[in-house]
Amino acid sequence: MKKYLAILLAALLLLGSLAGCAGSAATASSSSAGTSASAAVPEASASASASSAAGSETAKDYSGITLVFAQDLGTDEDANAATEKVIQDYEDATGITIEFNNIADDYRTWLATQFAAGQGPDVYSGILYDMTTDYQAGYLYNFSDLYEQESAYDAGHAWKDTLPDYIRERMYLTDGSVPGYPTTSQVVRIYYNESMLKDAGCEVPTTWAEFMDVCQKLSDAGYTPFGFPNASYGDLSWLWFCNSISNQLTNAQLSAIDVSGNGYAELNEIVKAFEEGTLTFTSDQLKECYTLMKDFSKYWTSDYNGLDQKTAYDMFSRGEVAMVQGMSTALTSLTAAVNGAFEFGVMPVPTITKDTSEYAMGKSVVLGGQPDIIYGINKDCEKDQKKLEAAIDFVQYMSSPDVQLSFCEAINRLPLSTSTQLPDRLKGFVITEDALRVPYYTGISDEWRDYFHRGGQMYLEGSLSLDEYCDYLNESFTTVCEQLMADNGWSADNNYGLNS
Amino acid sequence: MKNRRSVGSVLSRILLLLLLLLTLMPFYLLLVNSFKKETDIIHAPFGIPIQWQFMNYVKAMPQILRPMCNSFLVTAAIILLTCVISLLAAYAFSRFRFFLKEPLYFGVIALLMIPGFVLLIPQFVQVVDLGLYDTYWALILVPAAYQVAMGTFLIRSSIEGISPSLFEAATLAGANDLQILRYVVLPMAKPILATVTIMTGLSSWNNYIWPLVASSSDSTKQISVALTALVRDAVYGKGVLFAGYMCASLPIILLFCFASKSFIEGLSQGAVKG
Amino acid sequence: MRNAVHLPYRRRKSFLEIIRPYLFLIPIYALMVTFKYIPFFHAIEKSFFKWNGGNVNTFIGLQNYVDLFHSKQFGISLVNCLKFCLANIAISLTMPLLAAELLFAVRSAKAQYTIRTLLTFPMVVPGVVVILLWKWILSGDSGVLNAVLSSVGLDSLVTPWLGSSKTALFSVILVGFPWISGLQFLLYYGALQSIPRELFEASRIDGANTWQRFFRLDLPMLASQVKLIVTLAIINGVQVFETIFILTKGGPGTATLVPSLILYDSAFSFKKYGYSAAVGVVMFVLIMIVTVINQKLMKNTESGD
Repeated sequence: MKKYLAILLAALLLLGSLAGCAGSAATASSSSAGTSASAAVPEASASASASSAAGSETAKDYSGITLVFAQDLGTDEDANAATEKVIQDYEDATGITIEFNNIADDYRTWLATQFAAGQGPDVYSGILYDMTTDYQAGYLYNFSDLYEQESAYDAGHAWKDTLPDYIRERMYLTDGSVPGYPTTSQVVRIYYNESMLKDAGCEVPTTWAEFMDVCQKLSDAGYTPFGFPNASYGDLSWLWFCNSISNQLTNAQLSAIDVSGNGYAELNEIVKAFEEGTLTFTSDQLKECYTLMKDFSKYWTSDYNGLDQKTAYDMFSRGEVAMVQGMSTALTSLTAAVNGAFEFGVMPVPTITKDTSEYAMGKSVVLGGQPDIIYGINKDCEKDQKKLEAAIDFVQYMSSPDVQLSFCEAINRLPLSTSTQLPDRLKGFVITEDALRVPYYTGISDEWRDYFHRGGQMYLEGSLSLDEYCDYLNESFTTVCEQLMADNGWSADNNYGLNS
Repeated sequence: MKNRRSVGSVLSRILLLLLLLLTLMPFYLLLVNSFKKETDIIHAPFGIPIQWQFMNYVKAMPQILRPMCNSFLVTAAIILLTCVISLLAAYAFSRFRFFLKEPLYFGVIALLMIPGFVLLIPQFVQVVDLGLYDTYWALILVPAAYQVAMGTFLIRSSIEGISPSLFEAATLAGANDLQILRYVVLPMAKPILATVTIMTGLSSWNNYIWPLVASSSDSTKQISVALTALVRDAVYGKGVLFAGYMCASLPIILLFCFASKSFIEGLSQGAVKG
Repeated sequence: MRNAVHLPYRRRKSFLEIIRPYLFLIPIYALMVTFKYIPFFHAIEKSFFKWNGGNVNTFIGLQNYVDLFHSKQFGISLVNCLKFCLANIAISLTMPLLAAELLFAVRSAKAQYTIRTLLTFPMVVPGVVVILLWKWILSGDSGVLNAVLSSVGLDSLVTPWLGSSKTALFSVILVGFPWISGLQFLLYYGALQSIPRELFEASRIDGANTWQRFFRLDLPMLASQVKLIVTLAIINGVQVFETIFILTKGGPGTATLVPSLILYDSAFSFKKYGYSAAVGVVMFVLIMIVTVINQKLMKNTESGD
């Protein structure tokens, strides 16, 4: 019996692999990530992106050039289809060969290893923090000149002008260089289950006090109010919520920290503020922030320190929690997972008002709202002028308003370009809150995120008291600052790099 | 005979059954959920599918067939290489006395003690410098370099268990080393070789981080990497992933079946002798 | 040593005979040196540098090691690592052995074969899948474990397993229960099967019951397997990574932080490759010391193997 089973399995496998190997040429090009140039003749195709590409580059011919493009696109079918189409259109229009590497998992590990051996991809994307770190490690090409010029796919003004102000400002590093061009912004919202809220007799809250009230009512009605993932700093909830609340409560100190007055606290301004005592984690305002969060935590699932974002989404879809924090790109998968079981909506982080805290500035601060999917170019491309030209053209194409629109339609990726209109279903993601001005917990360094998060876990579960937590934060931040100052050559003498 | 059915015997059977069920649980879940849609997986992960969704397999198969071929080649090569090289090395360590024997053995075992991630980048740089990036050589030789250490470790103790009289007889009959290997060692070492085959096969098939960084093109892409990048839509979701995992586990199950056969044969041969 | 061929008289060895053993070792060493040891020496070299994977590559001597030994986090990770290792050893000495014995006691050879094959099936499930499954079992509010506990009335034991620093390490160790599908089971079972029948007959005739047989006959015959399995349990226990990475990333706080996690984070999250290499070297030395101690201990306890 076992023998026959084994033979059957072997036969199946053989058939399957023969079919697979034989059909691999066909299947590989249609379903796998490695696309190759098909038609070199530019066609007037139906897609907006190709027509704008065809219109402006009749002289462009990159045949013979191969660009390696990497992105952590993930496994979503629609996202992959949309990206492959966009790339295919570009290949058709310019004759170039784009080798697209979709690294769904362990993207940063893969990138680090490739770069360490000197063979990083020619073009790749990432979040601001990662692209900044990569630029500082010497991997990336400086975009600052490009920003001043026109983009081939967005004519009529300097490339940088299509970006909203607060995004554009964030792209400049302290020395004036720019690591890449961003194409989206993750706007984070709180997704809420409408039926549960109605059942508990709640309205959608706008202030923090109302929010706590809603949570209490939900809890009384027998629901778990919030699925808060706090397993690791990669789940971002603790860092983001604290960012928003801290900013809402410390607005009065902003001018003291932001000495350059550009409305945003750069890294060296933060270091200076900490070293000089303007910023300290034992301040009353920040203590209040942590206290508010601790009060909030009683409405979370019992194992929040072990809960990750994906599981939180699942719990929301299953109707086990009434609310969950999420990004705009989660809209599609949540809709499919919920499958019509209930109606849900989105709301921003509630505003802290004066009746909750005397320090409240009365406006909410956006969660997320950072430049994202920033396309960067490998510095090694500078060695080959034609390749560099092609890479720049490709980046400008991928970040053009038309391509941003096509992604918006396909997978709810929020476009950045001010000239793109937002469809109705994404209206809830329009940023109405104040921008994040002091990235206390996310904009410093990964190690700081790690310290802050681990300490936060212990504080929330009661292993550390509030004072112990704040002291721990001051201690850890001192270590982090030392490192930053050593790495960047900042000190009190040169005013932490602010005078240049 | 009937009196031997004591309480202890019944209890031990129940215990075995319980352990068996608990152990099979992950496999059962994988199987059952590979036929469900995402929403069913989230809502009722333990249950039998109400509607058997074969679409999951239809979506998964085209994406994984090519990587499975590749993995098949690579795994087979690694197993072969490991068995041969480990056998030779273990033979030397268990049969001869020579200068620096223990340090050299230690040098082999020490490899097992090096944490994997320490080597990831230097290994990769080495492979790129040798011009082996994105080749089968890199995918085969690098993991094999680790497996041979484990293999030698396991095989050596097995060869040492072979009665010396057999070797004496063979030497007196005029056999050289290769003949001894073939006629004396190989038959006796079948069980341990089967174990090494299973362990190496499993480890190579599921090897993830090395193929991730060392290969990128379709002709070398390995199944473990392909599975993490398995494209799926929101409706079938994880079902497609599980279907992919099920398909990918078929060759390994096959390997187990075949390796077990020789395992058992080897055991019965060994058990007769004293 | 005892199996080296003893010739009845000594004669001077020919050149070929002297180099014979080394010839057998050429393939393995060529492979290992090229693809493992040379990279390892590069890594050791890098541990004396400050390297960010790109433009910063300065020699700093022992600074990385000094920082390492002053780091509170590293100290905590070593303690967790020790706990994990001990648990790993305990588990590998009990459950797979129990399963092997239980299976061995089954009468029908066919049933034995079937059950044994069934028990190896779960090995095909990739580690990641098993870990994700356990993540779900251990989840606080909707988890299977808590559901089972409350349904049998053990409500007091319901805790957020992975979410509390008190129970997190225990939960991570729990993953993989009942731990019987794997190499250890195969080795134990194989060894039991190769014990000659006559010995079992003899013990039965002597009137030994199952327990006595187990301690007097089985265990001594399994001694070399036990030694091997304990060594592997130590080596693998110190290097534990995937389970913790997927389940808790070292948290809550530092409750499940282990050295391999620090190694990974410092390289790939914080870009401190030199520091990471230093962690790796220290881990290697640690494993080596513990393994050597273990080997010596085991040698002393085995009188006549």
